[in-house]
Amino acid sequence: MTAYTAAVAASPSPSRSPAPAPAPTPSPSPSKFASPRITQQFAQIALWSATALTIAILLFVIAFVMRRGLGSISWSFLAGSPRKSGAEGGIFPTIVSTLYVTIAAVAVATPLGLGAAIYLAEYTSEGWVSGIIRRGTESLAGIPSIIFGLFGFAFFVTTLGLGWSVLSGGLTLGAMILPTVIRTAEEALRAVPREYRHVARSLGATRWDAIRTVVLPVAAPGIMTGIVLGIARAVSETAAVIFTAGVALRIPTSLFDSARTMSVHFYTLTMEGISDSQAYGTAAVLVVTILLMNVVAYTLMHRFTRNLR
Amino acid sequence: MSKRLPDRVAARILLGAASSAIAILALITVFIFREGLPVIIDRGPLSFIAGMRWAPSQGEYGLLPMIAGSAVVTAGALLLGLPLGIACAITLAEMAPPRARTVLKPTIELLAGIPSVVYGFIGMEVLVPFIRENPAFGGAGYSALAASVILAVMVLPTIVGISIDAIEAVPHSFREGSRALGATQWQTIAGVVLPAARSGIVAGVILGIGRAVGETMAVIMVAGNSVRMPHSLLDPVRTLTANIALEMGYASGAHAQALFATGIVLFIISLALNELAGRARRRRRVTQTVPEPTLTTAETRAELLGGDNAPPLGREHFA
Amino acid sequence: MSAPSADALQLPAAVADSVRATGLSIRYGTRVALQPTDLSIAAGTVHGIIGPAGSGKTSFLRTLNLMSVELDGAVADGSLLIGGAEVLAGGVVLRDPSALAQLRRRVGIVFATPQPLPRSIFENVAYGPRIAGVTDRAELDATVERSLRAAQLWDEVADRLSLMATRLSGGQQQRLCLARTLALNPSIVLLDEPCSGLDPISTARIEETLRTLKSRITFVLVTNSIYQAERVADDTSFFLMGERIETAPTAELFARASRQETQDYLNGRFG
Repeated sequence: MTAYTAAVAASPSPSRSPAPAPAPTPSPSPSKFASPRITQQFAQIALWSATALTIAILLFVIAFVMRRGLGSISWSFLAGSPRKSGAEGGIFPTIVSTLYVTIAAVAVATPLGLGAAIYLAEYTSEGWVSGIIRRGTESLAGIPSIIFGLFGFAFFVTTLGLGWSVLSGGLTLGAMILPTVIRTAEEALRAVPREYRHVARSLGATRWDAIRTVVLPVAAPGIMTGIVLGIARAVSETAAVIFTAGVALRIPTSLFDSARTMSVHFYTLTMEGISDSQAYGTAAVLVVTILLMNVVAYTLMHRFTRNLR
Repeated sequence: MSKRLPDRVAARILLGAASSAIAILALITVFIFREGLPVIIDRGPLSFIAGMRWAPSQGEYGLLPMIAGSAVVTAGALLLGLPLGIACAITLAEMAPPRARTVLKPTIELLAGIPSVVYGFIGMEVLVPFIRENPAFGGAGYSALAASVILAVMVLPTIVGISIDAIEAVPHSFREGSRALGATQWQTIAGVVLPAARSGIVAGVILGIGRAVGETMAVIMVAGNSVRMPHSLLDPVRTLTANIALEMGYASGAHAQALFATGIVLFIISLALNELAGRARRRRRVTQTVPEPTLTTAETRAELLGGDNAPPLGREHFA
Repeated sequence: MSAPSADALQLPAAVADSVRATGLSIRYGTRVALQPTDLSIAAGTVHGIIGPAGSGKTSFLRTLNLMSVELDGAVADGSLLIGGAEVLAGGVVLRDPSALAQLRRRVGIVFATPQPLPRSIFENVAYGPRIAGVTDRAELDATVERSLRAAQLWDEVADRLSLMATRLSGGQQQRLCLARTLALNPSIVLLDEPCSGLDPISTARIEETLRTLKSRITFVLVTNSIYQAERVADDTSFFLMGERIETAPTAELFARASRQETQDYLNGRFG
């Protein structure tokens, strides 16, 4: 990329060439509408404007939430209990609920996801099986969250009789973030240089020994990234959680208690018009949490790839 | 050594874990179909999908308004988001200084993680009143237009991210060859880079479509959710996803089954989209043929054709 | 410094093994890397293998510990006896993972580019024994020390065994890789162009190790330097384009090669 940008920087930009310049850039087949120079300038303006617009929109989203929501955040907001169905008070129970449900989801998705990733990355000699597994994982990744909600309701809540509970919500979310964990973990495992495995095997390690003692430790930060991204996804999820974990606005005391997560609480507050300021506050907490997780994930991935160079 | 698993046992356990994804997929299929299929069979698939009226209290379950709703909203989202997203990707991948790109790309992808309910909320507070009060638009504000705009913003990060990867995967020799022949930057981008990155971008777009079709919360909050067939962008619409989410809380019996049946339709659509995206991705890996550059003579075309073949797969981005 | 003798190193009694290949052929897909070849390597010697690139030397070497078959995707045919035990007989004989692991302990390998594991010097050398089940710290310490001494690296690293192995110089890393292999008490050590890109001093040290230890370990040395073969190898084989052209005691090969191709190669007519 740097070589390219250097070449670009070196070639004279049309807008800077002096007026009495020699023949403009030799264009074998000129555009029907305008000279290449003009289309270049036009394109540049259009593209940069589009980019500025995109970034402005996205920054606006964050700024909007932060400006109104950050004011509502205080220690009593975070640690206090809600009053009047959430119109006043704090959101502590929802924070705890989110924590529980997320932990449950991670507890499900991590062993299964890591195991699957190891299998896909390391045991590739079993040709057609891994092909099917990979297709299945990709398909799972594309399924809308509301479908997971339906499934969770039909299977965990109803058929297995778990009811609206932290467990139901956690299992459903676990299934939902599974593809994320698998994909990231597999990439991390594949990034480990092949030579490490060969060295380990040549020293008398079996395939599993080599994975356990050499590959996994090296890939660990990358795998963590996948888990963190999965957590971020779980925290932001609403549709799947509403129909499985329920909406009870109290601190869950067991896996089988119903629980309302932050995102569900936020949704309820806004749709039922309960309280604007509370809604903004909850939104701010949500956004900050998720942004933080993503930053952590990216830093981890960055450090991981850099260590492998 | 304490935890020395024999190699074969370890392999079996890992295979078990790996099958979990398939198992879950199978379970989802089974349960959704088990609950929803009876209604579809009972009413006949055609009358279910093409039926114009959705009135559970009268036992009528026609999905067409919702299918139309999803289609309109998704098309609108693409119309708005695609040009913007690809333009942004081009700028970041080809024109921006490397520093800017290193900062901006992750930032944009970061925004894919913002909860949909937050997007919906902003839509509710800002976009809906804007549409309602603006003389150019009008109506109730809660409309297909609002949903399209919000969805466009939500799929932007996906499209931008994947397009950047696809563009960056185009070998440098393509660009250098084109520039060496005197083409401007834009001519190179339009004539060489974009065609070469096409299947990657297409894969990204299909994934964006999938996200838009599957989006629930944000759409519920701004689209109006009326079960009538939309006739203009300013009409309130209800999407397939909203249909399920809104009524699931209190539905029972045949009504609940009809919602599962809606789920079946949604499920099939997303699997189909996924399959398409997968095909686009695989095609890129297998046959990265050099497209016809539009600005060169035959002999220089031969020079360009000497470039590398299939570039490495860019990293996928998921939210 | 003079190299310690093998006995002074107090190596547990390792018994050098012989290698006997009969009709050994190797292919990758449709590409034949080695045509059916016979080669016997006597125990307790240094056997050099020379030849230009693409002659099948590395494929042959990596088949001796079945790495080519298991990890590179090669298909090997013919018979291969390591120390008299059958390893290949018209197809791979050893399939059981622990049997393969056992083979690799017996037949060690040093690769062309130094490949230290991303851990400390001590842990690199101790890796093999740990995997093999050794947990006693005193035993590991002793093993690490004697292996590093044998590879002529001990003096340079004795006081910083916990240093990350990647911080060592290229020559030191390669000696570390040799020590790593020696820690398992192999009866054969394969070396795949181990000194390419190394400074002359490291090269000399590694060659010294071969001379010192060859009574207890059979060394099979693939090298692209005919001078190295001349310096250390007892017998030398010349491979060309997937065929073993001839084998002879080194001095004889260099003075009076019986095949024209060998003479041409040794005289630098091609490379």
